[in-house]
Amino acid sequence: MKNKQRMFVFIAAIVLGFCLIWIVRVQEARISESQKAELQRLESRMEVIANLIQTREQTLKERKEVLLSYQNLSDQRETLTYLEDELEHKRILSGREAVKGPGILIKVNDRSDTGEQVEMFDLVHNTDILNIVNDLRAAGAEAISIEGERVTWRSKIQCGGPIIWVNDESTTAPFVMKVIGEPSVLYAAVTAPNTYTELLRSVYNLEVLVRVSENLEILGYEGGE
Amino acid sequence: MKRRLVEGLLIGVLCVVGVRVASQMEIEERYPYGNEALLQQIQTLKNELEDRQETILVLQNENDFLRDQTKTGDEIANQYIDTIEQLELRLGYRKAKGPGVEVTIIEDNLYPNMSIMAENTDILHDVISYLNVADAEAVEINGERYTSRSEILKVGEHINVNGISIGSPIVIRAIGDPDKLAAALELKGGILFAIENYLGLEVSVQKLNEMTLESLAPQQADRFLQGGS
Repeated sequence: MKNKQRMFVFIAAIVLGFCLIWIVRVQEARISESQKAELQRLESRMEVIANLIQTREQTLKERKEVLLSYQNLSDQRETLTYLEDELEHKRILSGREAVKGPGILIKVNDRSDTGEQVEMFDLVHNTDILNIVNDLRAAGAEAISIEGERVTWRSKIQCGGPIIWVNDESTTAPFVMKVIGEPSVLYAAVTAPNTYTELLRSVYNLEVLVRVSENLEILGYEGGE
Repeated sequence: MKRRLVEGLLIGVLCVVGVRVASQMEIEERYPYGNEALLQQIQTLKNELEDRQETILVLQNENDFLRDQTKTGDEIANQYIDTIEQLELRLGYRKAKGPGVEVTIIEDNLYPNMSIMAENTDILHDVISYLNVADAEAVEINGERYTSRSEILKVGEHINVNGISIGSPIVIRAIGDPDKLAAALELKGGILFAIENYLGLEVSVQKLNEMTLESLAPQQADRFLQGGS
């Protein structure tokens, strides 16, 4: 019995010794548990940079095609046609043209079950709309409108007391947003747990409705420069 | 009794050591060459990215040169080119020059493991919205042009603008009427007041007679957008 006990202690000590040496060796390789979080952060940065490079490569390809097109323009009529196409493309990108495509419709409204006592959190604020727009852009939205007003590079989405200014138009709740882009990605950006829009619905009990549409039409921005 | 205690202790110690070893093995497997190699890899990628961006600018210049050559003939073609260039300026594809303001937000090291601005990215949306209300004509954040496709996201403990990570100090530059832009931001109880007094960060606004905002390389082509009626 005593021998069995000694044998157990002996084997356990050997295993323990091996394990301790293993740990020391790994520590010497300068990788520790405390660095894990830092390494993961760096890895995520690498992923972002790799994606950017991919985007830039696509841009390079497009630029080369544009250059070739210019070089191959043979007469004035062809030049004008090419410039017209390029102008239209740039007007679409800048939000000046009406556009259509698949996407989602979002309706955001003030909380409806408040009774007489209404708190700030029961209402839709301009910051809520700004956050939703930001999440949609991150999800690759190609065109966005709020209550028919096209969101452009310089859109004002500002609080005006009981209303929200979008561009130079006053809008009130419910706010209907049309968004063109990959429908499934856009849908996830506003319905997945912990997304800003989902928190408005589940935590603050604001009315949020999201619907996928295969064919949305969004008008162009008609305001001044 | 004593024997059981020794055995129990040994088994306990072995379990703890086993878990520790398993977790170390996992780290070693994922990062076989350590932290320094990973940093080097990141630096290589960054250099590659800068090279690509330079190439894009070279191509942009060649493109402009060829486009200018088509300008000489037809008046309609000239108008088209002027409008395209204006739109490209608005889209952020061209450098923008003009007077404006520079807003600097500095985080101190009050919370060494947390970025207050990263936790409050909606404040940046508000700053841009205030600038737009004051008719800003072009905006950038830490050198990244803010366009209709730009997003500001918290990623880990830092902020990404257009997919590029930025940190403190956050410098927002806007072209427009410097007095109007500064007045909109410095309104008592307004956005800069909130950053200083509610977030406890240091903010300054400087009016500049001339500044140049960098251009943004065109993004990937649209996949879903078509011209409407």
